[in-house]
Amino acid sequence: MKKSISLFVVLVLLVLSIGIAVQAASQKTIMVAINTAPWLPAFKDLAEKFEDETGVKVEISAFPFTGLPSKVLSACLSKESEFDAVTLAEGSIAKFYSGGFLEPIKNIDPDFELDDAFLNYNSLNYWDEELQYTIETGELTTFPINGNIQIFYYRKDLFDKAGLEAPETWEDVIEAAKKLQDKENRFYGYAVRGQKAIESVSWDWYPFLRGFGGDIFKNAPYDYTVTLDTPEAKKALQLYALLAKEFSPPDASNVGQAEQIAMLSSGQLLQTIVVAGAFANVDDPKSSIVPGKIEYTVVPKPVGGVYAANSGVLSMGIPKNLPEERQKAALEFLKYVTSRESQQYFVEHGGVPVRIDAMDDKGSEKLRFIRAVKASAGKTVNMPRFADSLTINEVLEARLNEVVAGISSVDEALKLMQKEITEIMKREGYIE
Amino acid sequence: MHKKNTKSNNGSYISDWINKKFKYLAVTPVVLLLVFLSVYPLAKLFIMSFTEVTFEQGQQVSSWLGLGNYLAAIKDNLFSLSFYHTLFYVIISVGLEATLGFTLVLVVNNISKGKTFYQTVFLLPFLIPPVVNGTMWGLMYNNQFGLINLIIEQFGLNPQRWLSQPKAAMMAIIVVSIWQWTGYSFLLMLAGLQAIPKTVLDAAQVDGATGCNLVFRVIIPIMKPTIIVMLMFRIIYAFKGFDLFYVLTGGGPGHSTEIINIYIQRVFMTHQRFGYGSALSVISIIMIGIVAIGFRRGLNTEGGRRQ
Amino acid sequence: MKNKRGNFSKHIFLNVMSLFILVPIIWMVMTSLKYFRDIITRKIIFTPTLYNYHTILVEDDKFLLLFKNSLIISFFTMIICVFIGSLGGYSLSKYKWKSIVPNVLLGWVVVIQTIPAITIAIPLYSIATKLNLLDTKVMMVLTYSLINLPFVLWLMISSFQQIPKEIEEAALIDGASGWKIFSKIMLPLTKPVLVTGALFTFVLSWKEFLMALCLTSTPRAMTLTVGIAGFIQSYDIQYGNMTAAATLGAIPGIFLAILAQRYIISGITSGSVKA
Repeated sequence: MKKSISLFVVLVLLVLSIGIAVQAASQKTIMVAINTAPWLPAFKDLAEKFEDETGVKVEISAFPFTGLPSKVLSACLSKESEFDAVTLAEGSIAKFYSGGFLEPIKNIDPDFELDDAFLNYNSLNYWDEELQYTIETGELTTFPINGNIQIFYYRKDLFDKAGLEAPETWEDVIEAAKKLQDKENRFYGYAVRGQKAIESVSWDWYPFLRGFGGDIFKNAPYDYTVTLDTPEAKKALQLYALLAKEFSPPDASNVGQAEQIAMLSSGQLLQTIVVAGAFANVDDPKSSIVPGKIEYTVVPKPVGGVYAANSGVLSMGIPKNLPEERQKAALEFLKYVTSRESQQYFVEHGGVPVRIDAMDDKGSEKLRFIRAVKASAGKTVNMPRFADSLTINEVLEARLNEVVAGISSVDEALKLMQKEITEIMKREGYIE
Repeated sequence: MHKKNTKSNNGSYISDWINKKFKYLAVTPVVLLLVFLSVYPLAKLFIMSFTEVTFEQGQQVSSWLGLGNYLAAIKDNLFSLSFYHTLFYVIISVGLEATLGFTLVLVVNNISKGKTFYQTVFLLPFLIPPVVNGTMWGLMYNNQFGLINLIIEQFGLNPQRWLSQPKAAMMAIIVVSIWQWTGYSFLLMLAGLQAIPKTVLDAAQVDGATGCNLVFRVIIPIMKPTIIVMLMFRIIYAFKGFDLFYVLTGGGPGHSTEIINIYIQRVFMTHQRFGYGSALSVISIIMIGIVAIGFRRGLNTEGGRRQ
Repeated sequence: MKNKRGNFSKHIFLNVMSLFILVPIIWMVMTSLKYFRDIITRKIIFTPTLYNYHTILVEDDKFLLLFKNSLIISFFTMIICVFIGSLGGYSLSKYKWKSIVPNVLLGWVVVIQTIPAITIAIPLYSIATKLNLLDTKVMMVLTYSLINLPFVLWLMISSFQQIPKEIEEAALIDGASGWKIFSKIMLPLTKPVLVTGALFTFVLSWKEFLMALCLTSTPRAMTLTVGIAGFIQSYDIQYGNMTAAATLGAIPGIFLAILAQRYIISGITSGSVKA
């Protein structure tokens, strides 16, 4: 008995000492929280180069995309953040801005400014504390890291064979889809991203809404009147519902971004809207049976409407709950990864640049997606960025998903969205 | 009465003391672990449920709401909907698993060859993380890329949209759940069955009990404690179900597969209403607790006769 | 008397069940040997490749670290839960207590079990930060012990209760007490259930996702399950890598399960019950 008890005690002490010993090795490294993505290896390379040049180690912690915001939130709420730099996606970034978790850059380096080569993405990185919105009058608070915007993917080889030009309007898209699709043999003319998640179907539909001249709010942040029961919204949703019903796979309400890309890669899809960053997936012969056959262009607009490419740009910020040296170190790292050389390296290895001076396709076919990204600059839009954007996003997701699934009609869905979002906005005090 | 330790080994005063105080010593580690780690979370949870938490200037600001969250919860249709979905899931899933598991136990226990093979096979799904299970079955159910549709198309049937129709989605998830958890009930009941001393079973058979009689009159009553524990915890695990639903449907289509934990997760992480989420959690705990207490009645812990 | 027809139908039943269980698993292993393009084109005949295994083992060095973490964490959680759970279970079931003590303890323990994962992860995160144990294996072991102990405790109590009084009375008469009775007589009688509880604790700790995600951030303590979840990315779900990692990750569990079989199947009672 004595032996077993002492054995047990030894075991426990062993466990504890393993834990504490590891603790003792304190870090003088920069901890970065990021999401798992195909361009992650490129980012890690940049981190290594940074270490070579400055001697400061960078540890990249990659988490599943949907788990990242909760990791960042926990870090921001604790006494001292475990991460020195955190990655934030379009959907949740406003929550972190308004919660006051991120340190405005000028507090760390009063003279720093992003140079003109950076794309603006409608002031994504500038937060106005008073207006509680991202707007020109805001303070620089984050860096754009990956300029992921929507572009249009289509099978150029099939278009060429049918004598069709690159689609510019949704009419072109519908024409091509009607002509070339073959539903019997599982070849679909268009796929809507109907899946309900966070910024999924609503993110896919938003360029339609803006293309027709509509929007969710009348004039955020000044006027949050909900404008979904408008003729523009109706036209936008009718077009979307048409694309879902006539040309998308039967299971469209379950098609997410990964499915869209897989459908392109497996030769089941003619055209669709996807983020720019997925270009490598559809061109890699190991992941795709149509390498080299996909071409990219700006997201089409409605006839008589405007171009609108939705932003899914990733940014990085520095938490407030950090001592000054750590914040300064993080800032140096962020400056480094967004320099021109770093961004050019990034592009060549699967990333999407955030600087116009790094958008050189160098004549290579591999980087042909850049041309579409470049052409979309200045045409980007974004979903509302305010503290409760995720809450209203839920409503949009649920109702739009119902339209795609055929459970709800266009009119019903718009009415419900208008009603439910207005209720939320009233409850939270944005409108009377 | 006891402990007349006549062999007084010098230096084993400690052993004596340990034996004497064994009753208390044995239960100390349990209490320590619980107190050390669970008092704070439970207290914090309880207190937070009466507040609403907002984030300003990087700090958490709590404002007292009294019963506000609980009143809101009663009016919350989505919450009660999620509760019904969970009940449906628990009853059907656990019911089928337990029955299937028990049947398998009886059959496996009776064959002469291949026991180890079958036992290992049935346990396999349980060893795989639900995250992986969910993703793989999600792929199998997929309309465009899925194995299941591939197979039924070979038989000339139409491909089904398993995960995008409300009723079908819930049943699809239940199938995966049964696939995953049957090994659990199987193994536990097998262990319970094996723990019945042979003498007891022989005596019963001598008395003329065979077949169904043996099962229902003898085996099940003796195994009752094990069966009850197995069911109780399986039910609790089922109520806490999250990973599978999250990966397969995320609660969709619409809200039709949204179970309690998916909803609470949304309240916490998407709406970031920590106070409300805490209140929902407390209500959920109470509801599940009531179920557990029902089972507790069946498990008699007034054991032993020793001081 | 061997009932030939009965035996036959039993085997049919078992084989059908096995098919149901095995087909997805075989599909999973097959997927781990395919290139992505073959996975999404539903190829049953394909060129097998070890590319995915190469990716996770060679290119991305995280796999082995995470595997090691999961192994250590699950193992120690199993040991702790089994030890504490069997001791506590014995005390609560075989000694006389004022009923309030076991009621409170067992009730408390059930309450812990019912707390949604996300709800308990948040305060545990702040405990971990305060104790400077964030992103450590120690914290994971403590957390998983907390979560799995209730199950083992209840299991052991039920198992001890199944032991007939006569055996214990006989032991008492022989003059043994406390630890001796527990370790030499009682515990061995619960071996099948104890071993099952140990196996389940190991497996449940291995499979757990949400708390590991919340409480770990780097390969210092991150578990394999969290790492595998990282293959679910926004542009694609890397089925190949995920199934390869899951296949390799299932090995400890399978190994333990086979090992456990020996303790669960006691040769004495096999075949003694004719249904």
